Amino acid sequence: METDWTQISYDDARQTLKKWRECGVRRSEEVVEIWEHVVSRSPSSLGDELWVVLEQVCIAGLDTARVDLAQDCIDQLHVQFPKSNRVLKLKAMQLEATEHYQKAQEIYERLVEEDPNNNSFRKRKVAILLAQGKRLEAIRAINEYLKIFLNDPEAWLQLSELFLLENDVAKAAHCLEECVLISPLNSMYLRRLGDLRYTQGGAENVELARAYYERAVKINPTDLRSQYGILLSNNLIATTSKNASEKKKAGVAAVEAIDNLVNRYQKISTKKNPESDGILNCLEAMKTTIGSK
Amino acid sequence: MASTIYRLITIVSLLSLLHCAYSAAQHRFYLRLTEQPFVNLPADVVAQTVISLIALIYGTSFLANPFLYIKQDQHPERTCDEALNCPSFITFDNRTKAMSPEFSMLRALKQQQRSQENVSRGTHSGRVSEAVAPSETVDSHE
Repeated sequence: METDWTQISYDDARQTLKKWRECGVRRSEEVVEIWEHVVSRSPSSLGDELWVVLEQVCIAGLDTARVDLAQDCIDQLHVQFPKSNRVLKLKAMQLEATEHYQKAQEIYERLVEEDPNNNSFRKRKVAILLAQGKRLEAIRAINEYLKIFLNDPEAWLQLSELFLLENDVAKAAHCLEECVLISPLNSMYLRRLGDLRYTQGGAENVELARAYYERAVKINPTDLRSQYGILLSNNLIATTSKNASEKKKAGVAAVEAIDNLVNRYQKISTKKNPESDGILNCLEAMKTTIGSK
Repeated sequence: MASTIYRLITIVSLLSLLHCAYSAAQHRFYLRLTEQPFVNLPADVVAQTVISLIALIYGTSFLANPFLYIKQDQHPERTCDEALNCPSFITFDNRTKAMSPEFSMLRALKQQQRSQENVSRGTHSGRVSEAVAPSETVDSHE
């Protein structure tokens, strides 16, 4: 069900903004809607939270090409924190959004010089290259950045994304391995790593993919996509493997994965997912084909 | 079936533990009556306490919800949008710009300026060149 973000209550709006801010999801249009229709009616009742919300709204405004709104936020923040580097960063981001990359670059360079330990300014410098479409230079810049800030999963993730855009799956997988190393209990990284290994293909990689998917399901049993990953990789191993016993084992595991999936789909009602009947039929058909081998 | 056995173990050990407390209290009461100094509890009471405690722990650990894998994802409900998003590398080149009236105005201004530059280099006219410095026009060609 779609929520009408312009109609929610003040408290809900505040909670929603906080949630999005913390999990880092990009829902700029909704943030702008919530700000304009709900929160901006009485900004002062946010208390000290107002300044973070203004920063959030400013970035969302830039993302939705609402430079006027962003300017408004920056002005308010500037009055409150006249010498803040963080506000200056927002100004530079506004310059980026209006395609004044050179000026933004100059500001970021000055900010990095002033505060070399703050990684967000360095990240913005990479973002300028991304915005201009200079992908190879951006890859080089992130590599430089990662030499200093080795344990930044976000940068590794971005780097793997860039390598994927360059069709270099092996390097992208390596970057994701670093992410897994940093937060080994994030099933999303494991699942994606499994996806990449499966994409790479070859017997060894598919087996690796299966291991990653199994790990992801183990630490997050609700992960449906990884369950599909287990099914697909087992199916592939069962059809291509030369070792007979392994072949048999993979076939059994594939059937087991299908059973798990069927269980999951039977539990949800067709109202929630109108496709679930079709998917169930498809899974049953797949089970008979795998079972007959 | 199995859960009734565990339930039985739990109840029996709980009762036995209560019985231990009662017999310990009885022992102190008896000592006070006979005016002997308290040294320690009799061995059978101590043994019963320890055994019933272990049995209680064993029973309840099976009665509670099934064991979970100790290494769990901290945020299992997280979606791809949240986990695989890089907010500090955000770029603002997206389709909202194409739909925004302000940006179409800006584009028109830039184009105007560029054509003027081609016609007569050096004679910039007023506000446009102030808003968009010459160094930025190099950017926009890329």
